[in-house]
Amino acid sequence: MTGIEPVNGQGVEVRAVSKQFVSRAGRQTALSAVDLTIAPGQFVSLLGPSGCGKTSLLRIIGGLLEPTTGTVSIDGRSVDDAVRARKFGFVFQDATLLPWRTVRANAMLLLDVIGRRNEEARVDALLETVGLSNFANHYPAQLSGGMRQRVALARALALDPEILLMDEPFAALDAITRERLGVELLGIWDGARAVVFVTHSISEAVLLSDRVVVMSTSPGRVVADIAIDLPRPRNGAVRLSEPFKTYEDQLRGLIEGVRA
Amino acid sequence: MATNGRPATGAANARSWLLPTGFLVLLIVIWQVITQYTHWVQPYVLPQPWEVVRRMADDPSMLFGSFQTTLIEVIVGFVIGSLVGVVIALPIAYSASVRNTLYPIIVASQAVPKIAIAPLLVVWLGLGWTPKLAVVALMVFFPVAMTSVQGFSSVDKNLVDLLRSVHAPPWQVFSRVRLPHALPHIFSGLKIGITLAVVGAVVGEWVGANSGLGYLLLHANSMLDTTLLYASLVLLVVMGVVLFVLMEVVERLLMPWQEPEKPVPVTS
Repeated sequence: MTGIEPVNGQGVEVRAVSKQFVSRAGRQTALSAVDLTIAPGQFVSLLGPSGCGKTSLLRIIGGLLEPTTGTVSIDGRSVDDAVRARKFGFVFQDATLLPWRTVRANAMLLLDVIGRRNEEARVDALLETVGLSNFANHYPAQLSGGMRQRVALARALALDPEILLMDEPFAALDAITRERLGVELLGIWDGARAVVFVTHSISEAVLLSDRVVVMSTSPGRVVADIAIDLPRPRNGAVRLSEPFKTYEDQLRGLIEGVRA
Repeated sequence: MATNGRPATGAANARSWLLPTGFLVLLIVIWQVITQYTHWVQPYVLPQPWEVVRRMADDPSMLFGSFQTTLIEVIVGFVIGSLVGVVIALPIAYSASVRNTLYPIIVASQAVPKIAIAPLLVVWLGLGWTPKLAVVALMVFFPVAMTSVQGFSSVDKNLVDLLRSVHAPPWQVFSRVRLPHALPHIFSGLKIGITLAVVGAVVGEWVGANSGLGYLLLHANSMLDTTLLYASLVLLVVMGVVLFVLMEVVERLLMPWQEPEKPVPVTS
């Protein structure tokens, strides 16, 4: 799975991207000269402390934020083209569901707004995949936090995106739900799409990823790019294995080094 | 499973009606007893409730004709004012420069006392329906505009980004996300607006009218006809309360997912 180099500009290519924000405190550099390549179907985590620009990088890749300098290309074309071609699926830390829509209608939302209303069968299949078939007609207020985040995941997958962009999707959940959803995500992710997964949890990054990109703060930059060579399919038990702990220690060392 | 956010049960609903109604009836009974069996207050200050009811029954055509006139002013003015409020909220919510231009003007316009400009409106618009509708609309427009701006612009930023990330057409974003999100906010403005509309109609009639409950109120006052004054007052209250309740019913029908906001007692 790992170490696949993109073929003729396939996948995500981030070249010399920097991002500066102008605030009252002055000019702040969120990202500095970031290079990153993500092959199609690869699961890449962006790992780092708060303020390392990992969320900015994710939003730049997905076209929600303009880089100050540098370029991003998706399959050899511009991010704008990729947005128009609906290649991205976003999941945020909060589920951001619409309280007036049922679970099914929430999962249908993006298909609805772009006028693809006839794909209900696929959405129902997705709800089945995320384990919410029995809750299709419930409202978000009737769901737990973990269930809401599963709806958000189904909503993101409804457009069958080439690249799934996840911004700390499980960070607001309790630790047990978080671990369970991580394992579930492994089952749902079929390797057919790339995933960029922002997290500050080391074990979550190791469990899920083909590669973990470690980032540092002020300015945000890439300090290490570690291939996680653990066999797939993985499950929760992989956490107990020796290599898993070795990876965790290695990443922890890198992050501590970053902070020092 | 998390808590479910369904509306209150029928029993709880009945109780919420029973308490205020019972309390009101009790007050009226006390009032009746005091005015009928004591001489603590003169009848021209406080007439017997029973006399007020008799007055309404004696002369229904005049009172209810006035009721009708005022009701039409309230409803038409309310519709105009709330439409203007919602429509003006759109450019304010969507554009920072429009917001910076219009917001201070709208706030300043609200600081002008309506009762002070009502005579001016009569000069401009004559003695017919229009000055009354204008006062009502002016009263209603402000709370509706403010809450609509709040509603249209308070959509979760991530949700807007999510729609942006799939290149969603702006109209779809408006009709499927912004408008339904704004509805509860708009309705809180509409509920304030409907009670102000009744005040507006009375103010409009005070300045220049020959019919309506506000006119009747003024007329009764000048004649020291307190019974008629109270009868008009009761009808105004009934109108205000019924219209308010109607708004709540519409709100519930439109937004079954939403519990109407109720004030919570202060506990600390």
